[in-house]
Amino acid sequence: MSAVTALIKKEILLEFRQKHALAGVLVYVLATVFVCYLSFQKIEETQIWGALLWITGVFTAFNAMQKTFYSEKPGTQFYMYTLANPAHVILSKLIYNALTVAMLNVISLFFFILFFGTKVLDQADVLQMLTGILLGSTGLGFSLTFAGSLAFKSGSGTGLVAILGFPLIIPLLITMVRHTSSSLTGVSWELNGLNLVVLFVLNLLPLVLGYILFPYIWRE
Amino acid sequence: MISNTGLGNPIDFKAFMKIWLKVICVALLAYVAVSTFWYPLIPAGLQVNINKINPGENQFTLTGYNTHFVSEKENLQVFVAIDSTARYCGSILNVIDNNHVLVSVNLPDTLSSANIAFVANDNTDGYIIVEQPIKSEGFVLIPGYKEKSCKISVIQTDHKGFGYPYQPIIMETIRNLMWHVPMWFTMFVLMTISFIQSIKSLNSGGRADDNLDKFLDQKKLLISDTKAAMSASTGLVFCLLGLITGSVWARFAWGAWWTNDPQLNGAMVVFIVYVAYFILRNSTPDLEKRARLSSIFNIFAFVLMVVLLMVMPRFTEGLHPGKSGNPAFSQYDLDSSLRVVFYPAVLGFILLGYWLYRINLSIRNIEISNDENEY
Amino acid sequence: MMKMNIKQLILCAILAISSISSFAQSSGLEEFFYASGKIRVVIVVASIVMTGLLIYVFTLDRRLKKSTKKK
Repeated sequence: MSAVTALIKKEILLEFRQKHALAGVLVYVLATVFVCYLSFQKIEETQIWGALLWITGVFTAFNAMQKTFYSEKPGTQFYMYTLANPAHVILSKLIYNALTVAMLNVISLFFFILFFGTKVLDQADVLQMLTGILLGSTGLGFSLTFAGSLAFKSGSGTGLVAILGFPLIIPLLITMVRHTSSSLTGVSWELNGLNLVVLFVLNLLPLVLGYILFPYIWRE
Repeated sequence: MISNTGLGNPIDFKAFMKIWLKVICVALLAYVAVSTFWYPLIPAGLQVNINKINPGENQFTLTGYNTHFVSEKENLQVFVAIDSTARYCGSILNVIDNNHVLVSVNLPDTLSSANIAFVANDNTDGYIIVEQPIKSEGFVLIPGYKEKSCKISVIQTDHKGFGYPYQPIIMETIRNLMWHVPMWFTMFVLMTISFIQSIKSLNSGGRADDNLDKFLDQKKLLISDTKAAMSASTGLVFCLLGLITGSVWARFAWGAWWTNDPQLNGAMVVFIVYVAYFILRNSTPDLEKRARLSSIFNIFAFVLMVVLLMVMPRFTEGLHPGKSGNPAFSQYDLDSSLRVVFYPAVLGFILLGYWLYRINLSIRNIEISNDENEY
Repeated sequence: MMKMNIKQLILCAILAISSISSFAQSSGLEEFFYASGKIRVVIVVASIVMTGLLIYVFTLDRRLKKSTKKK
């Protein structure tokens, strides 16, 4: 476990050293929200707000994943695997990416509130919505890391991450959009709980499978 | 396995079995093709042409489906049932044709409930019940009131002959059960074969921290990988057929090409995921890497398929039959008359799917050996 | 070459499916199918299955011819 935490710390350190990568994604988020603001000025309907939030969220996740995978130098990967168990490496990557996407989505939520105010959240169960957003974001992170590691290894260009990742996140998307739109109208925890359970399961899938299966391919 | 017959000629048991399996497959599918169209639906009640009843005389025309009112004129009885307990016999004014009968019935002022059904009964058709929303005007409803039922000579409860169950709206399209559902069973079996072959190929490929010899058992890796790909490709064909037939059935039975139902969405996602599997394979030129990467993706795809198609529908609501329980069947699907044709259909299509997979695999092996010979 | 065929097949399928949506408004088609207790729907579905499988068998056959011709 300590190896995993050490690896995560290393990823965070690397991120801070290359601040421009994360900053680039944040600017992307800001730009998207800004364009939404220019088009809509005010958003009254919860559905539109939820839709925009998730559109931003999904593409932010894709963006962040691209940056993580393609900004690595090939030599460092192999060196890392000689130091640590490959299962630990992928676990650290999964967790780090999930946390990054979660953080980015919270920041984008913050931007949304900044530009559009909290009127939309009047009826919402904020805690429930936050749980859904967090679970959805980590799910996006896990799934896209799984798909991205496969795509990256196949050595075939950046488009493949999206092609492989998109089918894997469709059930996640359906569930989290449903959850968010329900929680924005203030539905109770019992009714919406099933969505959260589904999100949790869809979070576990790539995490567990990635952890088990990644050691088979790292050597390439 | 070579077994020796008494005649002294060794027979290849495997080849023997293969021929028999093919014969069984063709026989089953022929049986299914004939049976789905041969048998009629069992007689049932469609509707009555009135929408309210009053005390006193009421005239109505009862419409049945696949009924035999004309040939059973002597034994035909029509009555109005209250709460399935009390009966008011009607007098038959005219038997218009095999499916329509004009009846007059006299109802009293007081009834025990407004739960009204119109029933026809004869020897061939058994119990024909029409339960449609009927307004009762002018009645005094006293719950528990004992009505005087009319005397009925003989009640025939069972219809004669074999037939598929009748369901309103679905009607004859219930026969689609034999064509649409086996597509999914076949796809599931083929994807399971693909999954198992993917695991085998990962095992032959070896974990990266195994010693180098096991890591490079390339031949087994590639063989399993080819098998995984070919079974997935055949499975994809059946998935596509399932989606198309499901969509056509839904459009002309219920009026919509697609609904936002978890099982339908799940099926679509499964299709897209396996297409992505093939795109991944196409994008990886190196054979060994392709085998490993696509095996991992296949495992994830299979687990996702099981979750989407078997686990989720048990827990969520939707239009597709069989929610909150068995994801494949609802109550009427397990009707014994359907089972007689349905189970052979599933088996026949699974055998056909496996057969097509083996053909696909053989052709692929020829293509691979052609490619190898070119170098 | 086999890879081209699968992609083309899938693209054709997706296009075909999406073109069916144009029928959504025509009631003549509905009347045709709803007649005779909707038995015609069963005929269409069964023929879709059979033609689909036959088309697949034909593509397999074509691949076989191509690969044996190469020799």
